[in-house]
Amino acid sequence: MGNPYFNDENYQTFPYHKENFHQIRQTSSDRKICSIDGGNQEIYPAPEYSIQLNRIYFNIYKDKRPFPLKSSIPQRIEFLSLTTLNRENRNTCFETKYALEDHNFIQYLPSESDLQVQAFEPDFRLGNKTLMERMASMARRFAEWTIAEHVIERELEDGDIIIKDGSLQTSHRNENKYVEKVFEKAKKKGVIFTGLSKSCRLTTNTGYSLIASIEKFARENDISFEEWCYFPIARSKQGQEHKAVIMVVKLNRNASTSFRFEILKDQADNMSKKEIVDLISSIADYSKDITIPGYPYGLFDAHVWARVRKEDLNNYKLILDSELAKTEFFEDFNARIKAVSMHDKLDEL
Amino acid sequence: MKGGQIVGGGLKDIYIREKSDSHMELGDLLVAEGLNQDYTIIQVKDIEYRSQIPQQTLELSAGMKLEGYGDNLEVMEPNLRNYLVARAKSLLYVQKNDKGEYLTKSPKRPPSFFNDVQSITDEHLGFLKPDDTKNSIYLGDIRSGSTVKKEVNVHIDMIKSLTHHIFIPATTGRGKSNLVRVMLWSILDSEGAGILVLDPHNEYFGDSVRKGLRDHPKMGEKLEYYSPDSGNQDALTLSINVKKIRPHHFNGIGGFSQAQNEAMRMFYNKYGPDWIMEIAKEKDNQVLRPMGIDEKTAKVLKRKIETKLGVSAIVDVASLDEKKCVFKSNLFVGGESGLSTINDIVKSLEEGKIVIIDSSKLSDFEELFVGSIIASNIFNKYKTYNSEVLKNKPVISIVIEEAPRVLGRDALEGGMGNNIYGTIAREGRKFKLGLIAITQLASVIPRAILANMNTKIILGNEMSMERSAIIDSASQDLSDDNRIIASLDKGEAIVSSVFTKFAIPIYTPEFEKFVDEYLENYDGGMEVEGETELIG
Repeated sequence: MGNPYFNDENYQTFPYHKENFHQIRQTSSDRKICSIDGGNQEIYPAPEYSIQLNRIYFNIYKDKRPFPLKSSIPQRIEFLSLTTLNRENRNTCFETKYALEDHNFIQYLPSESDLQVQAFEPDFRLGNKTLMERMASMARRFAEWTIAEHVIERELEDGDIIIKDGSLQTSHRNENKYVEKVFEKAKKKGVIFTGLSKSCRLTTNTGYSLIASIEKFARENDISFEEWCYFPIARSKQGQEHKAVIMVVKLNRNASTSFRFEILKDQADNMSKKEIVDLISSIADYSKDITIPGYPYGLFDAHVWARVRKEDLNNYKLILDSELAKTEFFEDFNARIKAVSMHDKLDEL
Repeated sequence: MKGGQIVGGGLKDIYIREKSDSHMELGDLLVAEGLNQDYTIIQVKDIEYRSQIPQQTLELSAGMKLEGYGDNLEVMEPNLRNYLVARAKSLLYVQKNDKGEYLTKSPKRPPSFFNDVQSITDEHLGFLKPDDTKNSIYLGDIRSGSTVKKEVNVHIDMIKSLTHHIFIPATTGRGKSNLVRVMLWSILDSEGAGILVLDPHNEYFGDSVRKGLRDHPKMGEKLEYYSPDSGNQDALTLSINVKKIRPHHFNGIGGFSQAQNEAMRMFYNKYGPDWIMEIAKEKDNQVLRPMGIDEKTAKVLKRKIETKLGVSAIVDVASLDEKKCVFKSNLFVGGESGLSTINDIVKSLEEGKIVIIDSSKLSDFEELFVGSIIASNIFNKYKTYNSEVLKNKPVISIVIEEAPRVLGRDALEGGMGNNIYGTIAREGRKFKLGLIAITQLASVIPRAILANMNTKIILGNEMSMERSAIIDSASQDLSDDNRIIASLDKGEAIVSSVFTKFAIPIYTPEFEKFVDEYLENYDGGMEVEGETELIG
């Protein structure tokens, strides 16, 4: 089964120990819990550009009910982005531009200049398609941070919790800038910043799934808690890219799985075990919904509203087609699309 | 306040998501407001569960709870995710102009998508408010689902509705008699209608225990009550001299064959008013042959006259060659008694009175036959009036319970020939005559007759076949009202009439309470509280 393992010296890992299981208590707190998630899908693919439909959504709950917003931050922001690949001399650069239906949204989005990145040799090893997908999803990823910052600033108070879908790790060079800002704001206001991952690819040093190994460890050590959190598993050390204490939580006895859960490291380091358990117990109180027991309802709701389905793209395709058809670029545009769209055509037959 | 939002459908079926605390009901009247002082009245036809949670999850969750695994599970935001969707139908589009006048139209397009809907208010029904409720029949109060809007009374135009016939279908215990009592009470307040009530349960007049029409302040001048029971102190004695009976009174009633009918006519031609007594005296072939009557036919006829009218003949001891008639029934009599009864009743009806015939002690045949005699007399009389005279005569209507006895397919098409009730149903309108037909079995009445009943007051009915017959012949499209009709509680009804813009749901108050309230407010004239809606 092994022990937690991170292939990176910037993490301190902790071997399994049954004392690290902590019972989640039945509690109800008056904290506000904000959940935030985003989704994006490609409307038109082409080798050198990608048009994406992006959605970011957040919600706030208190006392198990939606909490009315104080500010005018839109709960759901939807925008189109165009990511292009530009090659000049030996430089390869990705740029992203927005197309906004509501221009007020711009204040909640990252700057377009921060979405301009140079690609280097290792990046191309991902392959053109994966690389384009990665670059094209930057706008959505960054926007999740910028919107979180606005929500902390204008909606949340000391002791409230923000749960972001996924880990607190960054994966783009310019992303740190936004993450730093939002983390600073959270620390300043006393809003606990956390992340919960729907899926976890971490393994132990024997290659066993980290989540499965902890569940197995619990069984083998007769851990009687029906709902528990296990920490510490790992904490990041000095790196800029990931500032978190990593744990695993089973938030409901009827849950089919446990989840990777992270708390902003600077905040977790200043919390007692009891405070951490209280925090997770508060989240567990929102994880009893019959649809998906053990998963925080706020995140589920955010996922539902933020996801972009294939059918959502059709409307935009129609509008884009009709607008582009009026322009001189349509023929060229069409030719490029055809280079990669045969897959979709075949699916329709 | 009930409320919701339109989330789909079309003109026929509008889907409304219900606001969680609305408690919408089948038959609820709702309003979708437009932008230009206009609104659409819609009615809930069905309600069903909907959930944002997948059905499989719901079933699993229920299973977990039932089997004891479900602790620490709940539904977050239950009001948001589990809800009811009502299927509704547009009934009427209403527009109000700057002068406060209403323009009503059949809806040609559904209300705006995502429009809010809310409960109907009295103001929304303002387009029905008449200038005058004089000479109208009160039916009850407007009802939205099971909510009764006591401030909005529903009346129908008395003359129009009575001449175009009123049909009241319902199963037992749904409030038919109560409705008719309330209607008759309000007719006593009006001028211009005479009503003949054949009352097989003796429930309309009332007595010292039960309230009835006799409690109406105008009963002395406008109500007459006949009973064959000579011991009934409140009633005039109902006895009819057989000399007043004519062969055509038997048309379609009593099960007489064509040969028997012809024989009766021959007897009448020969003996005039004494024809029944002559039949009873049994003529020999010498007398019968010249009249073209077979001896066997005459014998059967004699037996029928005896069993149905109680008239027989015995040897007269004073004159052994002669026979004299004996009258076993108090109803059909000889001599000089009962000669004026029919004329008196007809006269009263022509004076715009309500005449109640207590037929509780009469056989089926006797009840229908008495009605037939009276109705035939009125019909023939009204038929002879020229239009100028007829204009000033009151409309006369006959209340007939268990109407299929005379209006059913068997009665009208079964070989006995047409009866006077069928004739009135088909032709009565021309002569200001109508029927108030009450039945549990609408399905056995021919479609042509049902179509002639232009106002239907539909009460609850569990029988699917009966509902179909009612729905198929209604003046409005009630194809979506099957469930609603089945679920109507006692006193609840739907008024579907050619004189109404839409089928109006009503609640008829309990007669006793209605009378108490009426008498409390009575100051010599009809006191109507609140708004009054006249339909028609």
